[in-house]
Amino acid sequence: MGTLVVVATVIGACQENLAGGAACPALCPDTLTVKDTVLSGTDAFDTLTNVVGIPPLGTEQQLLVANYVQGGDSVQTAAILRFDSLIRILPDTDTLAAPKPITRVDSSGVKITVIAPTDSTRDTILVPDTVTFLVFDVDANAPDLDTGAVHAQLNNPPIASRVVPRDSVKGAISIRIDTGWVAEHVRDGKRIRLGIRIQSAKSTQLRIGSADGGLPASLFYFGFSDTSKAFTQRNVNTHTNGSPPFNSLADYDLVLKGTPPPAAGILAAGGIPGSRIYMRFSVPSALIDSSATIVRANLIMHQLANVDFGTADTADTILLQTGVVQASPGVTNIAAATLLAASPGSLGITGVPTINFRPEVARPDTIPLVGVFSLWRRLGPLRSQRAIVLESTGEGIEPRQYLFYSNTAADSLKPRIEISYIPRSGFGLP
Amino acid sequence: MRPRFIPPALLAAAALAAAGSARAQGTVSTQGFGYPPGQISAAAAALGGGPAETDAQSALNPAAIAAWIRPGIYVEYAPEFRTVTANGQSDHTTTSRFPLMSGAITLGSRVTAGISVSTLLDRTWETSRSGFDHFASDSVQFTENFKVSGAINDAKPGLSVAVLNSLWLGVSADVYSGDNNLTILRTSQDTTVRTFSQQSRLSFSGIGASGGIMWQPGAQLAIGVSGRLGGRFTVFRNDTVLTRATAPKRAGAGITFTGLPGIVLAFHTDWDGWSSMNGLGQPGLLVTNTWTYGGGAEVRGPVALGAPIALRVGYQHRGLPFLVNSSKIFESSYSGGLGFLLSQGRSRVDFTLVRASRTGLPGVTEHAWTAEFGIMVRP
Repeated sequence: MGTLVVVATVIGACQENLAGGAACPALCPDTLTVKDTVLSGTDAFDTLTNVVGIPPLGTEQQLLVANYVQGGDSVQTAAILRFDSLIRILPDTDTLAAPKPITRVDSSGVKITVIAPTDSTRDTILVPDTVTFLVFDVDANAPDLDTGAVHAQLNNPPIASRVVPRDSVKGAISIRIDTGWVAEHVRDGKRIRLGIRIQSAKSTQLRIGSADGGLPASLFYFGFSDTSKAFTQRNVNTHTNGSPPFNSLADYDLVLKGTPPPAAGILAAGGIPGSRIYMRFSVPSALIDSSATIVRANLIMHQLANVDFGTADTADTILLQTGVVQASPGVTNIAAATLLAASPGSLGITGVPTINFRPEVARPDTIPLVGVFSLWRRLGPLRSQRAIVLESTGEGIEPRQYLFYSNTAADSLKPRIEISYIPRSGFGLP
Repeated sequence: MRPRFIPPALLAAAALAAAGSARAQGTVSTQGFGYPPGQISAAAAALGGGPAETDAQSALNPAAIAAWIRPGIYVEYAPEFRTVTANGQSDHTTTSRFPLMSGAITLGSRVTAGISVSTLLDRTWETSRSGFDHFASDSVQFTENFKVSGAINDAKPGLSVAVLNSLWLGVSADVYSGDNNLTILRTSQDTTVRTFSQQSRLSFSGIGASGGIMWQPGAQLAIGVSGRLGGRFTVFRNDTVLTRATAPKRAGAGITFTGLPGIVLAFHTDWDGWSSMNGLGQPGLLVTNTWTYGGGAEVRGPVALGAPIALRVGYQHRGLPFLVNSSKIFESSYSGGLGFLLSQGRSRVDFTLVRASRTGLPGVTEHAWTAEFGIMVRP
């Protein structure tokens, strides 16, 4: 039995008639009865949880490389580039002869693509000064998903760097890497895994292309064999051990300093790394699946003031948006279900706005969900989870985070759902 | 030998009915299962219903089917323009009806077969109102619209037989059918509130039997007497039986006098046993038996289109079957109309205007103009 206190009331909504036919109410049918129910705790939600790490490692469409301070807090991220497979042989000039191994390399380096911000007026804000790109050897003998070991490698001295004037921080940028170091890896059959960080006199953040986004970084060098030489270039790639293979780990973002995890019992949306709130409802089927019609369903969330990383006055606007989980009830992996969320608009649901809540303000927030409840009623209980996710438009790119009380808070602060419904009217038989 | 009954000039009419579209707000007349248009033709209505018992086109006395004389059909359209006044405020609404269609064919010299379809009770109305829902943190304005369209119709196949040269007997079956389509729409401008919509349909099924006589003791007098017995009457929602009751009985008598040159006088009275429908609605529905009295005169007017125009006036008083707040409702109607013979008397067009006042509910009055257009064609 749940330990949460349940608040559930059913009352008739107060109604006041303004106008009707001249002879109403004497000659008019009885008005519809609107009933209200307030549900919280386990009566309203069977799951309330944070899903941290959105987008999942390696699935980033762009890689954020940042080193800046916002609201007195710093954000540092690095791009990890894997080159597990290198070009180690060259075809011989005699086409009938076997390829020859590369014995020497020259002019080696890594090429990345800096993606211009969508809003071109922001390029001088995001990159206000000369940028130094630092390249680290982050190869670590650790499991693929052990980013802690990779993180530790970024504390070592860089193996290469390049200073780029502000105006040149765009498009393809090549950073030369010591040819001896590369040649050793090529000759010895070793893999190369690089970390890219930036330094600048001012707060800087930029995005580089990723394999998932179609602009993979590449490793290039001139290779020399006994009889031939050739310019070689290979995109990021990886070979992971075990199953399933994580091909997407060819490149990924690593947060060195970012949004701290929320305190226990607090729900968080947004931040770097991104976090989403997964909320699965346990509203009684007698309400959703009955002949009663839900005409209003407002989710009330009590927001904590979160001033980390500044306020809206000092940072860009972020919005809180609702996603409707499309996963079937059979999907028990909450992280996976969270990713299978669609915007209400794409599902034909209106009236669920993207809301300009300010993370730094403590206040109750109201999220209208009646359209979502109508969809759930149409779909029935077996086709789709009755769950939503709350996410920030700044997810993964903006460190500020929305914080809300969860079911462990005091009764007055718990999330609750206020439902107004109209039972089927007996109107018909006079 | 063919019966010698000849209906008074221009005093024939026939019948089918079906409710058309409508718009109304909280009315006196459409309470309960609806308003009874009367099952009489436009010509009979112009005379306060006086000739209804001897009128071929009306759907009351099956013996009067003989008054068709030749095969023919009749169709009627009757829009009603209604004003309901209460507390100094008036609503103006329009209801369109096709209350009567009828037709007949002769089967030999003594037998006439006919069928009519008429509206027994028309339940077509619409009402809207607005208000506020007060929630814990805010108030939301709403508008509710209730709409009902449909009717209980009476399909009446019958035979009239001339048992004597001046006496006709008629029998008919009464097959009740129809439906009420009910819609509730509750809307709000507030985007957090979803529109509430509920649609349902009531279907009706029932049977009855009618019988009547029409006697013409002389060339200047016709008397009609008829009655109806009610059988089982059932209300369905989809395939589910909601309620059962007995179809309403009725009895009526009328007399038509043509003894004055160029003048027709007609009177009738009718008793309807609506209370047998008491079990058909919800427990609070109050139904009462009603009496109808009416009469009028038709005079020969100027000649137009090769035939004299019939000028008609009448008055009728009756009760309506469904009570409002325990109050009985009465309807008084003044009527007038014109009748035009066409095609050398084989066809006829009737136009009737009825002014009705419905009273009985303190503080509320209802007035209505009903324009009835009837056309009869006999090849």
